[in-house]
Amino acid sequence: MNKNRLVALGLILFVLLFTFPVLMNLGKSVAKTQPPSMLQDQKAMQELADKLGVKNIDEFRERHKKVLAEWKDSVVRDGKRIYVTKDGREIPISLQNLASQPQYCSDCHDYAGIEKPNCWTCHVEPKGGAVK
Amino acid sequence: MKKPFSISRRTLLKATGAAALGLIPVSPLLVRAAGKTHPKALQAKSWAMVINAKLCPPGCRICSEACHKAHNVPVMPDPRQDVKWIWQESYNASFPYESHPYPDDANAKRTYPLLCNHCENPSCVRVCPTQATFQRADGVVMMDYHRCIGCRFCMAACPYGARSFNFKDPRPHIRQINPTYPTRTTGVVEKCNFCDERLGIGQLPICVEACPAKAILFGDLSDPASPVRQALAANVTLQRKTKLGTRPKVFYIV
Repeated sequence: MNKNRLVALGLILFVLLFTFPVLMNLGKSVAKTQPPSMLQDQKAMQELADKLGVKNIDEFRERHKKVLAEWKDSVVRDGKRIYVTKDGREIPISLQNLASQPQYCSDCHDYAGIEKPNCWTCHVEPKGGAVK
Repeated sequence: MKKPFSISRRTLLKATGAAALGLIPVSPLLVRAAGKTHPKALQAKSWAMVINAKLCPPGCRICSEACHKAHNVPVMPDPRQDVKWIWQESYNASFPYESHPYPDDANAKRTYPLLCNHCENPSCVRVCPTQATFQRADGVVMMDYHRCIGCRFCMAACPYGARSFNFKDPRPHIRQINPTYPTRTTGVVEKCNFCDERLGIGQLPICVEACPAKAILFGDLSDPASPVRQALAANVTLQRKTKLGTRPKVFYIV
């Protein structure tokens, strides 16, 4: 009889310990999973996509890292400072111009749970808005 | 009787060859983004510089200050962690193989602006394990800070001391940050880039523009009509440490 009680106590303790991380974060994660308001702003997001030379914000999400790497190679390796998109538009290669709303980067990365972009340790962050 | 699964050597080789061909993908690394140069960009086959040191007042640092301000070069509190793109040295320090203990009075007093020589045969490029430093088609020895791993092989290889390492975050030590040019970060090497960012939009290097004595000339070494070639034709010039075979592209009128 005594043994059964100990086992039950042990089980309860085990379950509590095992689910501790989940229990501690209950309710807390809700705020983070709210999409940042700027994602709802269709016009601003289209503007952002246009600045990168992609069709829409979905393509931006998918390709921005690759395009930024291409931009870097184009300027540093080939000395080409204008990016020509697939549909023939010409865009000045400039991180300052692309991230004129620099909080977009950190807001979206926060929301997606991805590391904060480290561009601004070297490139000078534009004074577009509140900086996180 | 024919053995089961028998196949001639010839057929096997053919089949393997055909299979191997099918495996070769079109390398995505070879596809470069479509880009265009700026319509005003200055272009050359081989950029070079001639410095008329006769026009340099001893101790003048105007070129260095203009350059360091434009490129966010920090002033580190510890001189051992100094970062420099263009700096001044005495005649004997600048031209150790062309000097002796008894220089003429003018050269004994003079200071020479020194910078990356953008060598035709750059030793820094040879040793860089990541191709972070490389030579462009126009002869500019460039750095891709994104690729630099801070191994400092290039600093050991450069006989001119033209490379500096960022031992600490340079940001707090930059007097006034120029937002149009990036700063560097801890753990990368940096050096003069022949003002690639200015050439790319049609401007001459900042040191050339800043010099009040017009002592620095810049142009295409392959063009006989360029100011650089004209100055070379009209003057006796020196290069630094020529015997090392790096073929510097910065010339000095002494």
